Amino acid sequence: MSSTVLVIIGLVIYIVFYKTYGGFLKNSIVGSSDKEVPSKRLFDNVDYVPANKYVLFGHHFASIAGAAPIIGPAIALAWGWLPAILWVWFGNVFIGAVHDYLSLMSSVRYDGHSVQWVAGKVIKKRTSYIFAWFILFVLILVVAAFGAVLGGIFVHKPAVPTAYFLQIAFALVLGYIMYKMKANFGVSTIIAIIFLTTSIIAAVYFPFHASYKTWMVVFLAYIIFAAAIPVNILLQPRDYMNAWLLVFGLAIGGIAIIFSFKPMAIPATTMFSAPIIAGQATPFWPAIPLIIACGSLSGFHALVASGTTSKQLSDEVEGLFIGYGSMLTEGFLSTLVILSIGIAGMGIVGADKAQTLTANAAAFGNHYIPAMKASGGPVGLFAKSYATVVNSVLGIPAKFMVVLAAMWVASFAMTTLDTTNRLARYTFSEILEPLKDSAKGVYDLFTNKWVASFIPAAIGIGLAWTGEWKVIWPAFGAANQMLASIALMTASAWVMRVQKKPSWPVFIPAIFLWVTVTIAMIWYVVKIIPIFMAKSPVQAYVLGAMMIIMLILNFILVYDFAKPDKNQEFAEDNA
Amino acid sequence: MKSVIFFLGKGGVGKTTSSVSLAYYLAKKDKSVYLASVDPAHNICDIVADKPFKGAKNIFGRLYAEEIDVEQYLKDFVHKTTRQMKETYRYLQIINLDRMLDVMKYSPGMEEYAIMYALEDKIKNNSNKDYIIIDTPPTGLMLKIFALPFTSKMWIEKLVEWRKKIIDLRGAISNINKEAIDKELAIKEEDDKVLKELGIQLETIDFMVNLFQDTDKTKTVIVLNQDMLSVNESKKIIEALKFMKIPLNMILLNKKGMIEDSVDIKNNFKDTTVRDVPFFKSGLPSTEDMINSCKDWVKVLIDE
Amino acid sequence: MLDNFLENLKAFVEGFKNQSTSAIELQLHEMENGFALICFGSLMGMPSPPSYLGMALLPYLEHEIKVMIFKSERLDDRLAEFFDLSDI
Repeated sequence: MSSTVLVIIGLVIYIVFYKTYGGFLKNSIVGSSDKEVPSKRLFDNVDYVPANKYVLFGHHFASIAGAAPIIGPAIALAWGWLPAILWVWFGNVFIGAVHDYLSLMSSVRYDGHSVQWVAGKVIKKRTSYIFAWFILFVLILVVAAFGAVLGGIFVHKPAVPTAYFLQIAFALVLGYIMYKMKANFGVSTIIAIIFLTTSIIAAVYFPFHASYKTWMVVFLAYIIFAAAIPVNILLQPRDYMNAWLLVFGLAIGGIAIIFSFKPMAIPATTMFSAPIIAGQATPFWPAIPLIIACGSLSGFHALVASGTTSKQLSDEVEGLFIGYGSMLTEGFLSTLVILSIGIAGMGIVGADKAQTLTANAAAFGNHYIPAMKASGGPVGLFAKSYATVVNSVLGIPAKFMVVLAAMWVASFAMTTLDTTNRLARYTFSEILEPLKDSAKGVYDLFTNKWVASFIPAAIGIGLAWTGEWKVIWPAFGAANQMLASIALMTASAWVMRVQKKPSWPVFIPAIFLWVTVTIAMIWYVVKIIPIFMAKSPVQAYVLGAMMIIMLILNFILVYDFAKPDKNQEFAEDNA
Repeated sequence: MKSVIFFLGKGGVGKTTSSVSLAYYLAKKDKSVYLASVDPAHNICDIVADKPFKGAKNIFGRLYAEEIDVEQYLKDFVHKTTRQMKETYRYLQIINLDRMLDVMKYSPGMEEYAIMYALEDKIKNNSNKDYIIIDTPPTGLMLKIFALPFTSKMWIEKLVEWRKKIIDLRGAISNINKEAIDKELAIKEEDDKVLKELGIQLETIDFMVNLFQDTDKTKTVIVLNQDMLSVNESKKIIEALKFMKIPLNMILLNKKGMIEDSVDIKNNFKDTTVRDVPFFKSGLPSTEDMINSCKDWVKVLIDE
Repeated sequence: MLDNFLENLKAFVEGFKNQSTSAIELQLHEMENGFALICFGSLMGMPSPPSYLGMALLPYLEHEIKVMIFKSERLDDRLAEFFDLSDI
């Protein structure tokens, strides 16, 4: 099957479902409201400001696009490209985009309040607190997952850490130029692009070698430091450079793949239970949402949508474009990832490996993950495939494209590491709130800025220390999908109890997701943790504990959903 | 202006009498003198005039005396703020604005501020005089007034620092995206009214700090009596002055001989010049008596 | 047709401007909020009464006080706003 054909099919599916199913959701479920959108009704020129729909789309998309839509699909190819792509297409259209869109709209109807706050109002008060636990776990596990994956690529391809160091140094300079010197924006932009290009080129010629464990220590120090400095110094200029990386990466990659006309060189399907997580036979269902999160469905997006986007939506009708549409766009990105590895992956794993892998479908399924590991993990495999495709279509030298692609993923991942630490230390103190009066000493200690920053970072890096991204990545996926589960339940409760409309388009995915993730997590605790225990007992206990806590909270959550407080007023939206 | 002389001390020790005595002495020598009191007890009128008076009154020669109307300064300050509020705000979510501001005048620190501001004003306005003599309120309040410029200075400097960061950040954002910053907000330091106001406040503060620490121009005298209470309180004043690096020029023992079995002052204050003034047995001394009582100690403060 | 394209292009460019200032705008608002809190915390229930400095600055801090009041209205829902900073 030609990749070009698949791209077109993907585009068609997304466009058709956007118009039909999306339109259906908009008209029949969300409906319209007499009240003006909060960006106008509550306009304060600070947080509530109506934004142009394209600008808001870009902003929202940039916030939800990161490293995950690339890493997840790369791993999922162990099941073959067809199941992965079907999940990216249909999981997105029926669950993920619905989740994003309805999280956005329910927030809009609740004066721009976050889905966590709304959950507290339409389900039960303690749901909002449970939400905080899941958020904290996601924040810790994302550091673990990204840290492990990044560590892998840093070791495998030493040009990447050079690019990363250079980008940080350049970001500091760019920040000074843009915000202290207040240079002309166009000039700053050109400088930013020059910096990026220089980082990529220099990286190829000056690789930096260090051991995996060294990188883990560096990441930990980096996280704590970067999360402690004002945002205009590093975070803001780096975000700006990343926006350009995203645009270039997507544009170049998109064009290359569309015009490649190459056939998929990997099997469409391999087996139902390919050995992915910890090398164990991993059943496609229920494990797929744990592997491919962003790109198909991600709870994190609900927080972004209901955090800032809902306060800037300028008209309700634009919600579909921004909420549903940007998720589909992210799905498109994941599609490109699957296709690029599909057509070029076998060319870069090495001739003997390629032979084993392509012998038959089963062989592929069994040997894919180790082959991926040998190629630098998911990032390495993607980056090299990307480089091959771009090179063959556009002629740009592969050795630079590899660094571009790897840097694209690494930059976003590095951003996530320190920004999630900022969020984690706040969430951490929110969770400890009940201790404020009952255990004052403990509370004071743990809410100290440095302690609260260090603990989540240390746990995250501590887990990543093992290098077992195969084990950690699905745990991150699980926590993320638990968030999505709550968000979908909140949206269902909103539709059922407040909108009083038929809720099956959101309720069925909510139940399906809840059942899937719960079973997946139980399977994980029973099958995977013991294996992990044998290799890294400390981390296994920590990870196991997190999963079990999440499972318990999960059951409490669905109980609360089914049996809402009789006294709880379902705060009318726009109350 | 040659000197500003502050008379400090516990209530009732005879600060006012001493300050008036010095004023008379200098006026007799044909110096231009401005004598003012910021003591809420308003004792100057009792000595220099028959009845209370407002504003600066010419007592004799080139001596002008005034009971500074601190209440008026406070009212003016509140009024100025209210007026500017009505001018600058179109609407605000704080209701009953003027009522709230009236309450503000009782806020801790307001009285000291008003006195400090009044002192600055009066001293500046009378800088053409040869000597300025200030009769101060009792210790507690006076020390707060001395301290106010020092503590305010740190506070203002911090506010200025943060304000500059805010303006800088606004400028950076506006440079990239003009619409992101409301056009009425200042994006350059010279346009910011807040910085300007802070600058004005800092001027007052700096004036006072420099004045207090100017060893050539500023003289301080602690007036005390021969009892332990007086002595102990004076020691506290000395501590505070030392801490703020305000020079102490003299300890003036007033009403000497009033108490039998009294404390040995000279021993208690070995590092400072001590002088005394005898107790006037018969009620309020005459102008002549007051001028004569200064002869012993004037030279400590004044060279001519 | 061309107008439409230019409009969209303008929005695209504006999106980049947005990407280069959204984090520092967040920082600016919080600094303005903080400045107002330092000067007038008592309006929001903080125990310190406004000093004479707060009074002197009051006429010039309309914008900051507004920011302070708006932010204080939503103190129970601050976490999600910052998720924007993160890209996962």
